[in-house]
Amino acid sequence: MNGPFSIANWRAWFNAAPLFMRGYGQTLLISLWGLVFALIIGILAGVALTGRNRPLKLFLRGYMSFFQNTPLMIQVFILYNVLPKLGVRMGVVTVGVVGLALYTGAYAADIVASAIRAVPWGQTEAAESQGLSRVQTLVFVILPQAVKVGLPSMTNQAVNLVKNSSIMAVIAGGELMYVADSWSGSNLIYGPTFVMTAVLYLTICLPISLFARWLEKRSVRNV
Amino acid sequence: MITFEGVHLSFGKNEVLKGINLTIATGSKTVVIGPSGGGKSTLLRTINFFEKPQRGRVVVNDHDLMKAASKQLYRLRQSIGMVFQSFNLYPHKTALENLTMAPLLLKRGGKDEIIDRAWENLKSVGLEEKASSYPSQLSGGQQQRVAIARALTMNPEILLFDEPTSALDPEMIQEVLDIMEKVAGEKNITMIFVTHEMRFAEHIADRVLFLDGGIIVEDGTPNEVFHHPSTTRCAAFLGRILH
Ligand SMILES: Nc1ncnc2c1ncn2[C@@H]1O[C@H](COP(=O)(O)OP(=O)(O)O)[C@@H](O)[C@H]1O
Ligand SMILES: [Mg+2]
Repeated sequence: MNGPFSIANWRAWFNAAPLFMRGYGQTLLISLWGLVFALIIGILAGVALTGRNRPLKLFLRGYMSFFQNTPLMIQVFILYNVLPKLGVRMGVVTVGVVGLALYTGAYAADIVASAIRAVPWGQTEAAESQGLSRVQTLVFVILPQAVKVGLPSMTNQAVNLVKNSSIMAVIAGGELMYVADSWSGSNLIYGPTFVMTAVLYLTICLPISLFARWLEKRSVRNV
Repeated sequence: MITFEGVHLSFGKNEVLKGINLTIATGSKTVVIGPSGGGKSTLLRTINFFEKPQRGRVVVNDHDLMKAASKQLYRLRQSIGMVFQSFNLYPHKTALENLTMAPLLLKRGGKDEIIDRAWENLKSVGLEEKASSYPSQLSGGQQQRVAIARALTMNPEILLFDEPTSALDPEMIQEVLDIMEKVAGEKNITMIFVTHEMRFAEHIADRVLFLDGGIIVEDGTPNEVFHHPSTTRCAAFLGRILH
């Protein structure tokens, strides 16, 4: 059998599989740290957006507008090519993590802010009537309820983040998409490469998606 | 003791409290009645400083609320409980946890002591067996009883009730009134109820205030205000709510 999916092509891909697994590991690493920092940005910015500090809110709106309305590729390009000229040098993994965190954080902030707003005002009043401070009210009463509201959308953002990590291929990120692109280009074996690469992304994203769906069902039941 | 001295409070151009002068004795039970929009909720919410008057003074247990910093306010609020029309239980906590969360966080006593107190209060509102139920698993009447127990578990000196039975289905009103009557009879807590439950008011109130248009129009015993109102405004209002 000839053509892109010949036995020889499959055999060649499986021989190169360790290379792909390294790329897979890199994708996981960048995604995981990207997600951690995106969540931190999202929670802090989301809380601030529901607060009363107007200059801070204006700044955050600016940040979110920029990162939500420009292509991630350009953001990564700026981090990788422009910042070094201004004296800020980052390794390729760091660029990946920072890029994904800033991009996803801009969406996470919106999710957190609207989840907080979805918690009835009476909850804040009940907590404050008991003498809880603003921070205690937020941490012990509002956020635990907001998590339930926001978690499904946040999980979808996590899936997007993993897929978006493929953008690192444009700066030789060493992650899965980069390996797939460069290996298939130099060996001219595209069929198995992209099928298997898709399968590898699927092994990360599908469980997260299913988790999101499960959460959504559960939260409908528990209201 | 709670003292209002010439309290004026406006929301924008809308003056809601128009010079309130009022002294409420420690341990007394006061019922506030009056037409919707008359400022009853605002009056209550001024006592725990949810609303801030523009003029006048509110003094609670010798603390001038107008001068208190926010840290002090949090502390003062610990001994001023509030029971809301819409219960506002914490939906992510069980009934028992609703009672213990704030006292534990704010260290209103030792841990075991707080938990004992919570059980005792849950028992006294007749919901011991619902300790591990979530609010969504309780009826409205049960939720309000938990909310009353939650307020009591803080060991308050003052308890404010803002239309605690108005959101309830008719068949659940009495169970909540019974609990409130019991609490009012047993505890030496200063209590202020905004409610139009006349029979309840006649049973427990030392004093009834009729608040209309941001002014205290009548101030007397339940018998005086309900049966011998001195103003036509109050008489007309009573006529309306008694059909
Ligand atoms: N947070 C608020 N902002 C603006 N107006 C308010 C607010 N709370 C109450 N009001 C107004 O104040 C007036 C008195 O309200 P309220 O104290 O709730 O009366 P009552 O409890 O007697 O029905 C009403 O006209 C109401 O619209
Ligand atoms: Mg009211």
